[in-house]
Amino acid sequence: MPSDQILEQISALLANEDDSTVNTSMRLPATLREAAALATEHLGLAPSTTAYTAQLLRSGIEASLLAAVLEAHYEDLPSDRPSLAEITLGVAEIDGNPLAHRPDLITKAAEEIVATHPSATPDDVLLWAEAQRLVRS
Amino acid sequence: MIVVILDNEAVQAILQPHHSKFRVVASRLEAARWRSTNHTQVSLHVPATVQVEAGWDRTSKRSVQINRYPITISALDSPSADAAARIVSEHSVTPADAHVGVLCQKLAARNVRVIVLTSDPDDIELVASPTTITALRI
Repeated sequence: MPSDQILEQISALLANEDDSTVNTSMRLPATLREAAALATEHLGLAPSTTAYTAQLLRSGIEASLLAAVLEAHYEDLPSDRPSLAEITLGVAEIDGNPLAHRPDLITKAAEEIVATHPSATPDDVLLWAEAQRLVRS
Repeated sequence: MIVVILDNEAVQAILQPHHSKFRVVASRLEAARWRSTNHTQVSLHVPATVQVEAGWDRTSKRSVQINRYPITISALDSPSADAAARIVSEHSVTPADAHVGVLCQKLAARNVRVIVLTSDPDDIELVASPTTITALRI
């Protein structure tokens, strides 16, 4: 795990509203650069390739930082780590899946599936819960 | 891309050590990560008025933990303040809830998927209207 100091430093840099820019010597595959230029111009992804690159870089760093900060929290307080069933319930709510109203089914499906598939994902649980619901209906 | 907006209680859950709702907030953040593209397209936003309401002072020692989260503070500019004032007048909600509504509308207009972690989904759906957002109860 990265140190708390590193996490704080990354977060502070992302939050800093300093708009000054710096030239980089980042090397990209020529075809990727051309595809990005065409995509930004014709698909409306962003005002420019540079803006698009910066936007993707920021969102990627933010997502990785969020994962690292949560993981650091769970290491300090293991009881705060959400279960697979709890995360699956959140995914069902986000999807508007009717199973969001059946936390009992999701909890049971999560327990059953991790017994044989310890690395099961929320989508695996939703699929299994849906199958169980159909079998019982 | 998914943007997760935190309301007052969601901020409190992260700000206060051993908060009873941290785990449910974490489960919804993990769910949003799971649903975002390759887990790499999720951003957290807190409207500035929510930051004030929650008593989150970035310079305070008690903010050390929450300051590590990649949270963008959304400022209340003049046009947004006007829009928020209209929402307060129309729905009799708090300025912070109205600011959440304005932020929802701005983000949704950019085709961003918006999820709000809130203790009051009904109020949030009201202030975000007519924009379609996902308000998750914590």
